[in-house]
Amino acid sequence: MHNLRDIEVDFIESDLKSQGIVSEDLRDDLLDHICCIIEEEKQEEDDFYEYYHRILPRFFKKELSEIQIETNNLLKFKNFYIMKKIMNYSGAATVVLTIFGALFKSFHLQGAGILIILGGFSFSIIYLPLLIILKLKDEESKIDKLVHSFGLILAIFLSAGVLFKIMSWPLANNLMFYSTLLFTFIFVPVYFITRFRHPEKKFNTTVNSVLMIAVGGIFYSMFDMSYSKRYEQLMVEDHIYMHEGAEKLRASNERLLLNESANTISAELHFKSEAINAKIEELAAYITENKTTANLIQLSNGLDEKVNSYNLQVAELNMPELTQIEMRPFERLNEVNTILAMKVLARTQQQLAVNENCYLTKIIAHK
Amino acid sequence: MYICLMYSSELIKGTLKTIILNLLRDKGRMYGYEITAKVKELTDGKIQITEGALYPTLHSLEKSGELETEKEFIGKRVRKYYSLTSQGQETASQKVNELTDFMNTMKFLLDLEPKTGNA
Repeated sequence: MHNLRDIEVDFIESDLKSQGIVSEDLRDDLLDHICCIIEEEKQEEDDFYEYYHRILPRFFKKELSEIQIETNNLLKFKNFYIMKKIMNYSGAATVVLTIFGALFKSFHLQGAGILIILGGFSFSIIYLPLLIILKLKDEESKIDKLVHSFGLILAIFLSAGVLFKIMSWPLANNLMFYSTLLFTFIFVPVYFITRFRHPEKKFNTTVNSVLMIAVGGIFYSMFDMSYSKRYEQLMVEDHIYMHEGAEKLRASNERLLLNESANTISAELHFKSEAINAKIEELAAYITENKTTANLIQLSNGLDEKVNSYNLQVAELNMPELTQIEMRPFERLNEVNTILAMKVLARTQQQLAVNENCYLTKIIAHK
Repeated sequence: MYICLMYSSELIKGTLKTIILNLLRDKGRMYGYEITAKVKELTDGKIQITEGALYPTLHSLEKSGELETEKEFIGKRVRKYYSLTSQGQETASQKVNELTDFMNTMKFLLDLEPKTGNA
């Protein structure tokens, strides 16, 4: 039996450390184990250093740090199977909830919203994040880990965007647009380039890339789609109808103003109403001429003051028949298309005419 | 990660935890080298647990609360004795029962035992 000297124990310990056994706990175990082997199995005539290097390969296949890596993996992914199970359950829950949510929504049944929200959450908050963690463990190359994680994070944002859109929550369009844009034009090419070179992955990579580009491209093209021709026609007709109605009412108001009962208040209301109307006509003329809503914000400068002054007078009159003019739709005119913008303008013109008409008819009736 | 002189690694893959837990249930407390030596002795060298498989498993069992450790100084080095916690005792029984049941099923499946009944 070989009695180990302190210098030999120190040598083994520092060698273990230099070969990648960084955890002190594991190093203590291996040091004791190696010391035991030397004490029990080494022959007196064997040289310590030569014997040590001879027995060390028992501990690994390629290098000693494998034990450290394996230990780390087992400790880190202790819950690997639980995570996999939760992922499978959340995947199944997503499928069931989404299908039933869609069916309920089609048949206008109660609870559709809840089912869809739960399905979306289960997919984007549980299923996809777990998939990222498990992929990080499975993939061997660092680049593959990064690329997969990037793709899955985009998928989380995209599915959250779809969920927000279905539920009419804010930021839905931004979430969907930017995640689709990055997914289709950055993730898929990077995925293809990084994996295409490996012969064993070539076929799957090509098929997956084609599928992802097709789906992403279709999704992307849907963002900038205008209304269908039939719906567009209906909206134009609607706008013309509203605008004509407002014009008729304005003409009628002009006649009512000539009535002896009309007073300075009605003249003031008419003046303010006409000021807004003139600005609206200016905006409508710009849209008709340029076929765009861009720059409408700059063009509508001064409108807010006119609307505020008008609303102030409506508030002072304190008549339930009168409705204040909302400024918010005007602030977002450049974000909508021309048809919708024209509709907003015609609606406001109609409201102005209705307000004035209500006021005039009321004071005339009271005389 | 196993070195098996007689059995293929596929055959005993997944039984390492059961072997360790059961051994510690019988012997009380053991250190790493002792475990490998004991398994080798009990199986006449047919199963030899490699250090590369043993220590990651011991550390994982310790982290999950099945094992606890005591440290003793032997000169300049530290020896860690592993023993079962109460949770480990339970897991050991479960694992052994599960493996026994599996082996019986395999015996029946492979027709290694005369069947009784339906004669």
